Amino acid sequence: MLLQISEPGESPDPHDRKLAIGIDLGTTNSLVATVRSSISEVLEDQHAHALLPSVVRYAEDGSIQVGHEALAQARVDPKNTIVSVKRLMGRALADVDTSHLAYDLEGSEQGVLRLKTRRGSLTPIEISGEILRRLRSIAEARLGGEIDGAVITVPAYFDDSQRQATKDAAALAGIKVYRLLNEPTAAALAYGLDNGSEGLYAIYDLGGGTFDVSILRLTKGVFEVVATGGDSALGGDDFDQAIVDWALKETGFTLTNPYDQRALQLEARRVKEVLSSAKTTSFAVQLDDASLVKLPLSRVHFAELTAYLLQRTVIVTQSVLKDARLGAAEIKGVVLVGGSTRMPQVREAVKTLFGKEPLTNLDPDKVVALGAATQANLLAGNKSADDNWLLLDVIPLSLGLETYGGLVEKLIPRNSTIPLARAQEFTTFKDGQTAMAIHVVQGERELVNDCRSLARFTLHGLPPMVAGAARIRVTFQVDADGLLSVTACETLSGARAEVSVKPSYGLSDDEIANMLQSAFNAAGSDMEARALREQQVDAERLVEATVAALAEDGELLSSAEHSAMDALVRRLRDAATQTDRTALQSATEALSRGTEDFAAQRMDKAIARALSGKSVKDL
Amino acid sequence: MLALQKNYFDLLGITQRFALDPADLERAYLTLQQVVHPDRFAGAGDTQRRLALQLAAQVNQAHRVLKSPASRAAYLCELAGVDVALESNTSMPTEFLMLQMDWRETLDESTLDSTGLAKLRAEAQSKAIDIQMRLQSLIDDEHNFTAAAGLTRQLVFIEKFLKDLSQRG
Repeated sequence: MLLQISEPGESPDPHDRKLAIGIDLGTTNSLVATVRSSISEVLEDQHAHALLPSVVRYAEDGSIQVGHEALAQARVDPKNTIVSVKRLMGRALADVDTSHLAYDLEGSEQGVLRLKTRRGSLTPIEISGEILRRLRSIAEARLGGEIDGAVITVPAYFDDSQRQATKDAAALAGIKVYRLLNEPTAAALAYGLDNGSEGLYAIYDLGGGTFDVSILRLTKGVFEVVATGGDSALGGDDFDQAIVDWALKETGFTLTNPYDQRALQLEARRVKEVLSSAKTTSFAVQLDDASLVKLPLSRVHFAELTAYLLQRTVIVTQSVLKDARLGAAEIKGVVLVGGSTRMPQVREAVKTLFGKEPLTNLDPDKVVALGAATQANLLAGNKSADDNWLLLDVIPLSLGLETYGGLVEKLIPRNSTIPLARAQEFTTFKDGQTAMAIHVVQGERELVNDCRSLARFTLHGLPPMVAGAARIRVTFQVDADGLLSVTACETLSGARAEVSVKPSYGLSDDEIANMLQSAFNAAGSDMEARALREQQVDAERLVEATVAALAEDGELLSSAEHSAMDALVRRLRDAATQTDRTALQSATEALSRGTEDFAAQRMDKAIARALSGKSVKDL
Repeated sequence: MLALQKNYFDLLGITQRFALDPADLERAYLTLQQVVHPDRFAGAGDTQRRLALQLAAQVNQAHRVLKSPASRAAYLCELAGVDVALESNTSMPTEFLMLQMDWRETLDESTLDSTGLAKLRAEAQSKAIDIQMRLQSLIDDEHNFTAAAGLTRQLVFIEKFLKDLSQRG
């Protein structure tokens, strides 16, 4: 909507409602949810399963299995059945502990890691894309129509490359991403809206492969993240691995093949889950050579084996409290999220840490997807009268630049509220220098090598000057998805420097486009036709929004401006009924540009109204 | 005037002076984010979304700068045409430098216990409050921005020290 701002207007007509979904793309399981009749609900597949195992198998017959079907083959076909692919997203070979993985990995020049399967060498992005594609088709089957867009959740502690990888996976699955939403924030939204909560809340989110803790302040419909922290390589999988390591040590077996490795991991997960309700159980696996690994394991012993993992979450939580400048006693409630919080020792540790019983009245497996669906519904424009809330999130890791001697200069500290923009001036250090390289890193450490390399930028086309004379202003912008973009210009001459981006651990736009093209070819659908349809929908929306804005605030314009805008609207309306994509594109851009000043004026009007409304309330 | 070109005080509708009630700042900040945040424009055209993104970033920046007394003072000096020169000007009165060194030494002492830490924090906080009161009269009453710039540099030092201190305890 063009500046449809403050009125909490009515919900649009049912036939205008857009099908919007929330996706929790988890390490172990994934879910899709939507809002129907003002209620957020998880959408089940045709077998009434709410949870889709995040497992993808590339079968002998060329088919791709996803979910339960794939999981059932995980043991017999380990190299072609990919589990926990989320742990590999946005990662380079060097980042990953390969000793516990059953697959053959390889790195590429750009640092993107690939998995060798019988379908060829695949990136984690493509594999995640299959999970997303399945979730989309579950949703479309349940909702009886094509979905308009989705909010996809990511761990709050995901860095820029992991976020970008998730967004790329959605593009491959043909999903328009309204927003990447942090998992604990989504959970807080679901919890807070459900319970009408106010005050400071902590979200402790221990999933299959990632750990996050966020502290939020809830005030009158605003969900404000105060601080966040985590470990994007710590989750239930590590608790499983601790059991596997213990079993191998006790029995003296050594792993010789991927089948046994997978079998032990699957059994460890089963045992872990049993110990959430039983006090003792036994770990039993028949290995490939028919030998039997059988050991008793008690809940107490399991807790001892994994105490060091739990301790890592405690340390992270304490440092997030410190960042928020809060004591544990000031937290009103602690919400548990993620299947791994079912382990009794986790609940015990959280209780000790905060001095209060954690809140568990929402299903820890579903709460993230439910929150994501609520946000998706709002972003799709399906507003209802009580949708007046706002999320203010933060960037989880500091952004910095490489300076002399491999040191990092921090530009944007962690826990800064997004979206944000920060500018920094640079100068040349050689006479006549026309290019400059900038290396952006993310992390808290002081040395470049200890931080995550995000991208290297080269500024070209600087006007030649003596050393130190040029003033190059580089602006770093982080959008509401937590994604970074960079622009630069030389301020004395006004010359805009070109920025060429080379993501350190991502795919280039071309690679994504190629993958998308081949996905369309494989599905036998017409990419061109789909692109046209999307463009037409966008154009219709822009027309609708502009007409509504003109009706509401037309008096801000002179009659000449008004009729110029009417003409632009007519032109776009016509173009949207034709099939010429270039003409449609240019008509869309013309109307967008033509409404720029109008939009700014309306924004000012809305700001003035909001601020004066505030002072009236104060009287 | 268009919102993006306004100074941070005008943007948030807050009187341009050093004295500030934090509750007023928070209220104005949240009120404004409700209006400009990109989530309010998810269905809008690219132009509107870009504008919302820029404004929301600007409002976040305004909030950040005005919230901390040191950066608020520096910003007020800048608006008055006085450069605080945090990077280049590190000259401090000898007395303040001695105090600084004293604090740093205490913080580095291995024997420093939680009582000592709390005492050190209280001392630094009280010094910060003292400087803030002087800044308030220099900026709001006397409009002496040159003197204010010097004190602002001291306040930046203390805020940084307090931050390092909070990482310890």
